[in-house]
Amino acid sequence: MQTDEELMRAYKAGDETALRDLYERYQPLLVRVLGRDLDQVSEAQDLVQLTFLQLHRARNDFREGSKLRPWLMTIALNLKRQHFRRRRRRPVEDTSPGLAESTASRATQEALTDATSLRSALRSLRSKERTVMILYWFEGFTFPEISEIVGAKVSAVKVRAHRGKQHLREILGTDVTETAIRHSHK
Amino acid sequence: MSGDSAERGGIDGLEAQIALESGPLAWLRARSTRERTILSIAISAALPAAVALTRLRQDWSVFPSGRMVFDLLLLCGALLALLSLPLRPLHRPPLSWPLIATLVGGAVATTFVVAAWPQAHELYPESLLGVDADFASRASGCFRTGVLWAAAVSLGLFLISRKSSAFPIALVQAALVAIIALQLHCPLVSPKHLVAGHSTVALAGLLVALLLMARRSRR
Repeated sequence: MQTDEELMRAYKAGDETALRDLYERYQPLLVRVLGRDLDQVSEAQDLVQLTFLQLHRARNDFREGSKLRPWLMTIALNLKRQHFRRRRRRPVEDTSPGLAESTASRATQEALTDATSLRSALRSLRSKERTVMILYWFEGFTFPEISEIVGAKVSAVKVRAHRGKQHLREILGTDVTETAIRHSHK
Repeated sequence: MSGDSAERGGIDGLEAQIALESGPLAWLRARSTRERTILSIAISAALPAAVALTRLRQDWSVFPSGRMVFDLLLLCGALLALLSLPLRPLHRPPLSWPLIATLVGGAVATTFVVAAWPQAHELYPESLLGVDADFASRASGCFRTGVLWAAAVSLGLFLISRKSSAFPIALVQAALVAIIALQLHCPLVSPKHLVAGHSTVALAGLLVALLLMARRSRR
């Protein structure tokens, strides 16, 4: 199987099917990460599409030796930030049905309650902590990758992950690692 | 964004959108950030170079060279500080708003500092005009010329701009380019004229930029 970087190289060289492969590979991850802050699944899907449109526009900026995953995630999170700025509100304290609930609808009522609590707990965190929490605890990104995505030192990212974990533990009353395992990839 | 666009979404929708991105403009904006930075420098340098070659200020031979170098260094420094902001790609972590505001505000303030500096010389009679009855007409003449030049430069910068959200900063960049060109063209040396006729071009650029950003956030 071709690596992400090989696919990106192929796309830059004009292989249009490579974009399709990259889209299929990354669409679920991006919808999950973006969807944790958004009210509607369609909003997350639109942002994913915009992310890939930006990937297309910026394809000549992708350098040999770079990793695609943090590169693409930075685009997605920047687009999400712009989206919220345009809407002039932060994604906090919103209780309308959202992606977390809709993805958990197949699970039990208990799991649904857990998902709702987790979603509102995540939304109560500071934006910087929330991003690190989602990427590290829920999606398994490494600290160096997150450092590249958010433009902070690895040590600062570790501090944010630690503080975010403490805050979530205070709110939820359980350890975030346990919660993360139950809710990751839903 | 709407639900409709999501329904049109998926890889097929994406490919349809990409298919629409063709032509010279899309080609230009797809250049790498390094190439677009070189283009931005070329666009910014073209106007002052053309003015220096064809419409150089009449008092050039008597203008203190040290002072001219100092003024140009300050203005070019402010311009360079702004240069990378409109071109910053989305795959780089964003700069903080306080930093962006400091760079943009600092660049505009620099034009006023350069203008308000003590008069450079009294060696050329025509350089001493524009302070009495002809103050308003000469200042507004320079302002109009500066705005026209800034508009032309901003059009060039727009062509290489990928993000419409960053374009307002390019307007301030274009205004600085116009002020550098005015510095090379206009022989008047009165600080009053330079503040009212030259630096206000940067202020106008900043105001238009803020209006555009406010309008964008309302959408």
